[in-house]
Amino acid sequence: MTDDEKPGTHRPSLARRAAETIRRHRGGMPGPFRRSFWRSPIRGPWLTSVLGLVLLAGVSVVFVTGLLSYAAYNPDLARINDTTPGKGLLGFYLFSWPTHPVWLYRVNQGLHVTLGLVLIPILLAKLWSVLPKLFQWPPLRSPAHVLERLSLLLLVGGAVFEFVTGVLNIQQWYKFPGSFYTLHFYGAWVFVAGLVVHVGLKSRTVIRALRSRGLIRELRVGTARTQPESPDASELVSPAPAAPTISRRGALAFAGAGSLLLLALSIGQSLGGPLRRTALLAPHGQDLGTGPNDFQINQTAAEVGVSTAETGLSWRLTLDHVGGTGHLPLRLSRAELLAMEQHTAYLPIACVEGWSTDNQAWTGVRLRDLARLAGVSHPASVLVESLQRGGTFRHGVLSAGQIMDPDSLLALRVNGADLSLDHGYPARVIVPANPGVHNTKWVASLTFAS
Amino acid sequence: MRRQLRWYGASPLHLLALLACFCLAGYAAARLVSSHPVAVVVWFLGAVIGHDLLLMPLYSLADRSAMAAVRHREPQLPATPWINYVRVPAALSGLLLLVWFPLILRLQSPYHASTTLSANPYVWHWLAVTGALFLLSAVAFAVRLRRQSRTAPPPEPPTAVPDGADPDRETEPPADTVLTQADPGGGEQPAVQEDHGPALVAGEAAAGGAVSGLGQGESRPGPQQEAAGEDQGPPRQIQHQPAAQQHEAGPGDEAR
Repeated sequence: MTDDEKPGTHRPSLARRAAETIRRHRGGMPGPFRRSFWRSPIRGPWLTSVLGLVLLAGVSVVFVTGLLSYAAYNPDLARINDTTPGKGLLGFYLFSWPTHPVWLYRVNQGLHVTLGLVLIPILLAKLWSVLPKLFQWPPLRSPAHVLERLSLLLLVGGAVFEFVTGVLNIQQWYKFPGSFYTLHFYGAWVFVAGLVVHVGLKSRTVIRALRSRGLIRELRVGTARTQPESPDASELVSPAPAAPTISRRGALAFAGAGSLLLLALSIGQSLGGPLRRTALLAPHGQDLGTGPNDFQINQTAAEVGVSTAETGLSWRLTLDHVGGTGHLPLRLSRAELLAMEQHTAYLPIACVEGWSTDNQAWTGVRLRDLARLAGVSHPASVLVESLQRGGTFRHGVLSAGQIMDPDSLLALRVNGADLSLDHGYPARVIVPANPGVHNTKWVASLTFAS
Repeated sequence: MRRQLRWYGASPLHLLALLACFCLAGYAAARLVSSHPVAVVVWFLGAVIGHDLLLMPLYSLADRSAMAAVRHREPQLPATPWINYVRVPAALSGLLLLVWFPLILRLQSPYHASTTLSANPYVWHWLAVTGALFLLSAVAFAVRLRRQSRTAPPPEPPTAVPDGADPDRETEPPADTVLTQADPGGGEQPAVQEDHGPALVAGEAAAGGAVSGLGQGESRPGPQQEAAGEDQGPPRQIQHQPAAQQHEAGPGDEAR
């Protein structure tokens, strides 16, 4: 796509003449740099284009749900909500995260993570389909070619980097260098920069390739009748194709089978209920039991140093108001909170890692009632602090919309029983459509700002 | 303008698009590497070469080894192409291991402490799924063999390998590996084609040998039919060779 061998181009540059010389001698190039090294008869622009289009559609959804996932933390509301405070212009799209529909975050994260998993086989197939391009010879043909290959470095490196960090994070294998949020957020932008320019530069090639053979017709061709594509400028079609052992239909079905398998073995952890057990290979595919507190946990009290000594009868909720007047802070016992007007809300727990639970019946005091008790009738935000010692999410800030939602609670009970210690006894925050880590457990204080 | 175009190698729009891409990527990359510059760059470059120079050569090698190992025994095997019945379950099992290895190998130390879930079942789940995949594949292969033996003449018998192409076939690289090839050897194509060509699709085989196939009746190829099979072998190859070349006379021929 970069060569401009037009008539009238006299006196080719030195670089071009050198490239020509090398090209003429490429028969002698070693191994993979020789085009005839690559012999699959199904490689070609058509197969690459089909895989590329599927990947593009899927990655677009994963990218958008990823951006929404970041917005769901309300990073603009407070410094402690922002996992990537250096975002600068990359936070251009942020907005106040809504509380309805209540399944918004659950669906967003389930889609982001599950679709990401499902796309892995498609990505692998796509990388396989273009592998000869990595060994192009001569490797650098013109300034345009150099720049384009650099952008491919961003594209391929960014794609694999994003998938690897995501997959490791949902399994809590934190071996990557630094905060997952930093790596996954900025890595996504590097990847998307490479992706957008790649889509732009290849769109004509893709359209041409897809027109070259109809999808339906191609899907009727079995292995025996599989023929190589006609050679073109793409250099994907093998000049010495071997006999086919699989058709294009077979290769697409192969990648699709990988996607379906990953989907079938992991979607249960996001659907919950009886289907959870079908997630044989997913971090939250095990049932905990049938009791009122037997739903998924991602951080136990023991892990963050919360002991029963702090959560017993001596526990008090500190209720304050930034710049508040004399009667503050208020210190409320659990019995006093239970004596206030109780409300029940049916809300899920949904994690950034993609797993979630069905709606649980949470009972407790509305956050807006607590705001009023703190002397704030129009709260702008509330700082929620936990008893837990460490962790990025030992505190968080909720927005005005989140406080005022009638289903936003300081929950004391769940499914008709007291909260278990691991679910945040004596009290936890539960807000509709809120990321799990912002539904703070073992709440020690609420500080409202007006 | 034309001069710059020639020097650059593409249209100015190409240059502008790429520069915009590098601006955005650079802006994000500066933030990406800010905390652990060396480690992040190593991870990123590892991501670039991890698939192309590590994973892909490994799985290609496995694919070729499987084909080469069984190739030596090919005379005893049915002529039906079997590779995908090994390749697909093995690759799917490998895919699951690639994605879930921290769970399967119990590498994630805080898992039980964080979730109260057991880290133990995953290795068994993976093994069970792997077993189920191979079992399904075996059943599918058996069904296909059976169907084929009903509709097509029996596959080439073990002793029917006297023609000159076969010794070649033993030593040449497996030219029909889809995944990768080390040697051009385009000239040896037809020899390989004849291995797989006749029986690739049951329907085609049936069409190719319709008359003799009907003559064989429904029974599966047994030792008592070897003699008949032996007789049929060479003619069948002759039937199919031209067919294969006809196909290649299309776009494939230009590639040579």
